[in-house]
Amino acid sequence: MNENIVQFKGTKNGIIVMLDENSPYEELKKALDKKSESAKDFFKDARTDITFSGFSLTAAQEVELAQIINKNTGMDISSALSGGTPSISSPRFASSARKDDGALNQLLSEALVTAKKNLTTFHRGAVRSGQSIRFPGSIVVIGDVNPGGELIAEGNIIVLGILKGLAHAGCTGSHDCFVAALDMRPTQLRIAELIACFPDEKAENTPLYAYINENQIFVEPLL
Amino acid sequence: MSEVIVITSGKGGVGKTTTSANLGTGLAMQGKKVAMIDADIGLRNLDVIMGLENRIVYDLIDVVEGNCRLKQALIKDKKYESLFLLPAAQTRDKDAVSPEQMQKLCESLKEEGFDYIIIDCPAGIEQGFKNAIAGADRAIVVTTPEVSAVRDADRIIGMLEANELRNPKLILNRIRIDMVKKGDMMTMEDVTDILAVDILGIVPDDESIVISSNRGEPAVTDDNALAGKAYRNIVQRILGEEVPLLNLEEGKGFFGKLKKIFQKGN
Repeated sequence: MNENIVQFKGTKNGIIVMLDENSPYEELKKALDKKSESAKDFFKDARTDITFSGFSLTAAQEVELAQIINKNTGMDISSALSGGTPSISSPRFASSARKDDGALNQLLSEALVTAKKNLTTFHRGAVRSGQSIRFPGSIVVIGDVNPGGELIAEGNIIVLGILKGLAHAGCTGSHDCFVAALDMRPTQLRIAELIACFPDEKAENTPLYAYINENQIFVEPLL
Repeated sequence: MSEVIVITSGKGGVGKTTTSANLGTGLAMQGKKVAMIDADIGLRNLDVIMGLENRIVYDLIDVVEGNCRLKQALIKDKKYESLFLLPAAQTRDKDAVSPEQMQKLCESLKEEGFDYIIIDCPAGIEQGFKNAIAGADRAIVVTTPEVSAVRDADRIIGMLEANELRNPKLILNRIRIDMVKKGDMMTMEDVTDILAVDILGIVPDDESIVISSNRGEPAVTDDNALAGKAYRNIVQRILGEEVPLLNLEEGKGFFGKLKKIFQKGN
């Protein structure tokens, strides 16, 4: 029997199992059994994705082949793909795959949250009374924030104008966030769960920067 | 070309109705065909200020509900041939009209060949406001130099912009130059700094407004009234002419003159 109808090819995305398109399935199965048996030292305890290419497999056949590889080599197959379509149905894979899916999803959502946190929304023009900008990242306003206007960010807030409304940076509790404005006289300033009020008398128009230090909001000239 | 202008403010009592009456009359004095719509349904005032209360037969609700033709409800002014008023209903409330009906009404007034359609908006940001701005092409925001009025004007400008009525113009009403000079009142610059919109005019706090309103003759027709002059200037600016603002120094001059008149009276 020609063993070359089955070939392994390693890529950085996992192992591609190339199956000869013109051979019958039973022969491919036998060849794979033999081939994986002989390559078991090489694949031993590896944890990887496998992709079948060439011969078009049914879902059941795919699982069967994956099981053969698993049995012969002890390789932990995290997912099996055929022609780019994920199709995993055996309980053995399903459990491990689901676990991995969960981990993957968690990783993805974490990445998404981080990405959004790193994102910034820009608003040009005045934020007027009754208007509210909420964003999971940072907010930059090019214009004034009038009394009654709100900026609520999970990240930082920068106002290139006069901040007279309400600004809440780090609204999900991050103490690392700051609020900066060219002219800062907010009705109320919040960072994380801390709230600060500003004195009523008109401060001189210097750019200010507010941040948390030792559980207190500090305000300093920006320059 | 006809234009629908809504006069709004958010806060009540800042002079929306007075401004509507004066601008409508002022535009008619310039020979324009003007319709004024009182959108303050249930609390109508514009007819009183115009001195046309006793001529009301049909009102805005009758028109939208089809009880009468538009022309039947339009009341011609006592003095100016080209000035008409569509009064509000007094026995109904704001929910009696929908924004769509107001839009349709404005369209039919445009078809009637009016040059300007002035809508007197009710106070507040609810249904009445939404109705009043529905058919408008332009908005004029009236405010007084008080923090509460400016705050509401700010809210209203935001809402106008959200409703595609961009770049509303501002009228600063009831400014008292003597108080501004003493630093007891917000200046025009203070107000425009906060609101960040173009100013269309400033109107001084003038007793003649009270007198003319009570008499049912808008101050704009009074050549001697300072507020009348302010409204005439605003009308010129609406018509696209460049007229300098009544600035503080000029105002001082006017107030000086006004003082003299009162002193003579004494």
